[in-house]
This record gives sequence, C-alpha cells and structure tokens, in this order.
Amino acid sequence: MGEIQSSTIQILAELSKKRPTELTPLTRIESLDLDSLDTLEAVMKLEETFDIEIDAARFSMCDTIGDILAEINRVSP
Amino acid sequence: MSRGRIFSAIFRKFVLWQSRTAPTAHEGCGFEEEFNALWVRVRRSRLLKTVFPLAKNPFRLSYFDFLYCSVINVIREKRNERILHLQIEWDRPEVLKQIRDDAGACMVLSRHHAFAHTGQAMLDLGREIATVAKSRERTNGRYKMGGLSNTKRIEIIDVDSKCFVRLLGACRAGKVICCNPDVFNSKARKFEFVSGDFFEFSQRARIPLYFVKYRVAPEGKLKGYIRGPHMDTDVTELVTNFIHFYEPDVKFAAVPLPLT
Repeated sequence: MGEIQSSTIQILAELSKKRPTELTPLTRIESLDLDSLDTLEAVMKLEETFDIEIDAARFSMCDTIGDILAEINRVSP
Repeated sequence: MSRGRIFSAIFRKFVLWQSRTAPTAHEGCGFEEEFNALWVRVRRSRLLKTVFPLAKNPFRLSYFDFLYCSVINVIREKRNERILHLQIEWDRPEVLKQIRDDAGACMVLSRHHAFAHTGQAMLDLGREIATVAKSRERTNGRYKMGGLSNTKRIEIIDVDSKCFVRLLGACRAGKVICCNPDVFNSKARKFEFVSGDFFEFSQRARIPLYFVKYRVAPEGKLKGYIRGPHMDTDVTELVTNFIHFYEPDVKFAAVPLPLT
C-alpha cells in the first residue's frame, strides 16, 4: 500500500471510527457515515497532509475512497 | 386546515379587502407610495391585532414584521410586480461597505425568513453568493417569485454530507456565504433552535462571520441590523452572541445538531 493510500485511509478511518483494515479503495464514501462537518474535516486534513488543494466540485463527484485517491494523485506535485 | 392557517388567511384577506375598498393611493402611483398608503390604513387595525396572535407564525415574527409581509404580498399581487422589499435602512452601513470592498469570502447569518433580504443586500453590493438548501429547485423558484434579482449570481448547494466541502469551494471563489442557522422545532412547529454547524464551518474555513437581522418599524420602514466581523472566537461563544443579538425580539435555544 503506497504512502498516499495509507495516510488517506488512516484519516478516513479516524473520522469514521472504523479500523483502517476495514477500508479499501473500493469502500464507498457513504458507508463511512460521515456528516458534513466530518467530510469537511477529511478534506482539510488531506490537504494539510499532502500539501495540496482539493477541488471541491471534483471531490463532490467522488463515490469511493479510490476516487479520492485518484483526485489526490491528480493534484499532487 | 389548521386554526393557525385559518387566522393567517383572515389576516391576509382583511389586508386585501382594505387595499380594495379604501382609496389608498392614486392611479399610477409607485409601489412605495401604495405601500405607505395601505400601511397607514391597516397598521392600527384592532381586528388585525386581535387575529395576529392566533395566526400561523412559524418564524415568530413581530406584529409589524408580519403585517409588513402581508402588505407587501397584497400589493405585489395587485400590481403583478415582483418586488422583494422596500429600501432597507441599515444601522451600520460601514459594515456593508466593508463586505463590498473585501474581495475575500465571508459568511452572513440571518434567520430563515430573512434569507432573501440578506441575499439581495449582498447581491446589491456586487458580490456573488452561495447558500445551502434542501431543495435547489424549490429555493430557486422561491427567490424568483419573491422578486430576488440576479438569481444567476446565487450558487445553491444541496444539503448532504458534502455540502460543507462545496461551501469551502465557494469560499475559495470569494463568495459571500448566506445561511440560516435557525432550526425548526417540529413539536412546537416554530423555528426555535440555533444549530452550531455554520458557526463551526466559519471557524474551520477561517472566514469572517456577520450576523444580520431585520425589524419593521411602526411607520413601515424596514430596518436592517448588522454586526461583525466575528473571527477567531470559540464556536459556543459565537452561537451565544448570535442568540443575544436576536434578543429580546425573539429567543432561541442552542442545539448542537449536525446538519447532515
């Protein structure tokens, strides 16, 4: 598992109160049961961790953790 | 039909009847002149003051606020003109100038019934705005019916788990975020609570926060009150400040509800 994937899963696991081993790129975001503030927190933590700015509109289209990883890879230097 | 709705209908029908039976204004007069003439006629009505406490009033408006809405709506329909409101007299116009001149995002909070006034005030400053709503279509329709102009400069974001991320995007685009933190109490059928979500968002997004309220004076003038910017403050303190800002006109209780 690459660093981006492991860090992303760690952040989402903490916010969703699930074990990191339960989350994979195929995990649907809605199954994490994050409320709107948690989701905002996830985006801000990901931005801070990877020193990037995530496009809000593109993030809104993400359905799975894999989609989020693709978006992070897209904007990472 | 509930008793509250019946008395609301009586209230409105009386105002309508007064507008038709009394010589309120001359032919060809402007909206404001017609409003003033009808206002003078109905504002001291004993019937309306008796009916008002029994009317459906989920936003807990004062008598003059409630009467203002009725008079504006009656004249709108009569003239088939979609005017949102008459001129707002602001207590601190310098704060509005600050919002106009600042290119960055900010958040302006008001009660649900006042969104259109606040939205229009921000649009009139030349700013673009964003808001969240449960039904984008219904909200957009309401704006147009209510007479809000420049609705194309309003971004309406659906309420769901990603709405705050989209609001963050709107902040980065330099928009004014206009939202309503008051929450409906389904038992009492009134907006009695204040949720901390938008206050929390403003702190996390690090944007200045403003509070706005309106009051209709006995002479029929719409007065606007604005406070801010509030920054770098504890969220609980912000919610408390918002609640105090609205007292004694209306009392709220803070409820830490998640938006979604």
